Amino acid sequence: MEEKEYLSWLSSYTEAEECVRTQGGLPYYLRVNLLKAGVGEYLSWTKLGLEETFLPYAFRVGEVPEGGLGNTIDYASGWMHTQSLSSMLPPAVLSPVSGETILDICAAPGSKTTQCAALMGNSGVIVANDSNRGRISALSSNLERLGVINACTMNQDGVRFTSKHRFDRILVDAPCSGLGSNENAHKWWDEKYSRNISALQTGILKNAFAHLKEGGVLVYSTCTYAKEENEVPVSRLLETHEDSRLEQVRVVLGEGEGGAGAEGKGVTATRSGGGEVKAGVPIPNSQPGLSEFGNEFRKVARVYPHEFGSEGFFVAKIRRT
Amino acid sequence: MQAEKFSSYLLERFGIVLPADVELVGENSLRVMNKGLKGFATSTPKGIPASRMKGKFPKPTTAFVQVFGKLANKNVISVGEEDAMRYLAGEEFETGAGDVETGYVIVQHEGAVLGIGFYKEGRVENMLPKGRRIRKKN
Ligand SMILES: C[S@@+](CC[C@H](N)C(=O)[O-])C[C@H]1O[C@@H](n2cnc3c(N)ncnc32)[C@H](O)[C@@H]1O
Repeated sequence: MEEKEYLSWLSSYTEAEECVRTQGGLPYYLRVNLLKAGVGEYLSWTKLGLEETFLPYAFRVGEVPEGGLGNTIDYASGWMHTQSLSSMLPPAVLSPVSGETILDICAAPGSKTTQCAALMGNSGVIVANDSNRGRISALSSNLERLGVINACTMNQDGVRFTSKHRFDRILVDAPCSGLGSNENAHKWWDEKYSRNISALQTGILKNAFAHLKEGGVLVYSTCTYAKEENEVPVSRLLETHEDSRLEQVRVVLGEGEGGAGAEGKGVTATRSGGGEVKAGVPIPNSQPGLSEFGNEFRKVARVYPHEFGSEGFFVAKIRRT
Repeated sequence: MQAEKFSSYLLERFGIVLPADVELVGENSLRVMNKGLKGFATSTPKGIPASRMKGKFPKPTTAFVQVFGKLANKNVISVGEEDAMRYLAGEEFETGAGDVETGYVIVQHEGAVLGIGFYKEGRVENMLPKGRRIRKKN
C-alpha cells in the first residue's frame, strides 16, 4: 500500500504521521535474564549505559556499542536478551509463576518463551510450539543461550495442535501483518491480507483456548494495528465460548530478584492470598481497544510507538471461567 | 549410567551439586532439564546440552556451565575484561598459577560464567563453540 493511503488508513486508529515517524527510530531495549543474574547484580556489572523502564527487568539502551549488542559480554554470557519493550508486554501480562504449566503456541524464536521461563525461575513446564520447523532451531538456540531448562518444543500447526495436557496459562502471540514492528510492512500489506490472516488467528486462538484449564488465563497478542487481526479474533472467541471473558490487561511487575536457575530462585510473579496473582499495573501510555467492539474491549491494550516508545502491539487477556 | 558418572565428576572437579529439581538425561551426550518436563511430548530433545564425551572424559558444555557454573567452588578461572573478550573471541590465554588443576576449567568474568576451557601449564585452551563467539574490537 502507498504511504499516503496507509497513513489515511492508520489515522482511523491513531495520529498516523507521528506514529510512523516514531516507528522509524525506536530505541533498543534489553531484558535482564533473571535465570542467570539478578537485576541489581546485572546493573552493577554491565558496562552498557542503560535507562530504567516501568518493567523492573527491562532497560532502554542509551548508546549501542560499536560492534552491536550481540558482540558484548552481556549477550555472550546470556545475562541479557535484546527484546523490544512492547514484546515483553504479553508475558508480563500472562505472568506465569513457578511450577505452572504453560503453552506458548506460536513461540519461535522464543523471546517470550524465555521471558516466561525467567518469570517461572526455570521451574514448571513450558510447551513452546511453532508450525515453522526452521524457526524452531532459532528457538532452541535461544533456550540454550539463555539457559532455559523447563521448556520442550512442539512443531504443530496451532489450529490443529493437540496435547493430552491442559494448561494454567497460554500465550497466543499470533502470526500477523507486523505493521507495528516492521516499518516497511505496509509496502506489501493491504486490508485484504488482514482479513485473510484473521481466520488463521481465530483458529489458533480458539484451539489454544480449548487447551486452557478452567480458571486459566490466555493472552492474545500481535504486533499490528488492524482490527481484523486484533479485536476481531478475540470477539469471535468471546461470541462462541460462553466460558471466556475479557479481563483488564495489567502488567505484573514481579517481586525481588535473584540469581535464578542454579539456585532455583527465579523472580516470580507475586501471589497474594488465595493463590491469585496480584493486580499489577496498567500498561503506561497505552490505549483501550476499539469502542465499536463494545465496552468490554476497554479492557484490552493497544500500544502505539509514538505514545509508548516501542513497537506497536495489541494485548488481550482472556480468562476461562 | 553416564549421568551418574557426570554428576560425580561435577562434584569432584568443580564441587557442583545439581539442584534436586533438575535431571541429567541421555547416554553419551547428556542434557539437563527440569524434572517437570517428564511426560511431555517434544519435537526436539528436552532441556539444554550438559556434556559431550571427549575421549574418556565428559566435557561440560558452555550452555551447562553458564547456568550451573555459579555453583562451582574450585577449578574456576576468573578473568579481567581483556581476557574475557579474548576468550569470547575464541582465543587462548595465559593465566597465573592459581590453585587450578590440569583439566577442564570454568571461565568467569566478575561473576558471569562465560564458558569452559582446558587448563594446562598456565594456558587456557578455548572450548567455546564457534557459534557462541563474538567479534573482538581491535
Ligand atoms: C509473532 S511470531 C512469534 C514470536 C515469538 N512469540 C517470540 O516472542 O519470539 C509468530 C510465529 O507464529 C508462527 N506461526 C505461523 N503460523 C502458525 C500456525 N498456524 N501455528 C503455529 N504457529 C504459527 C510463525 O512461524 C512465527 O514464528
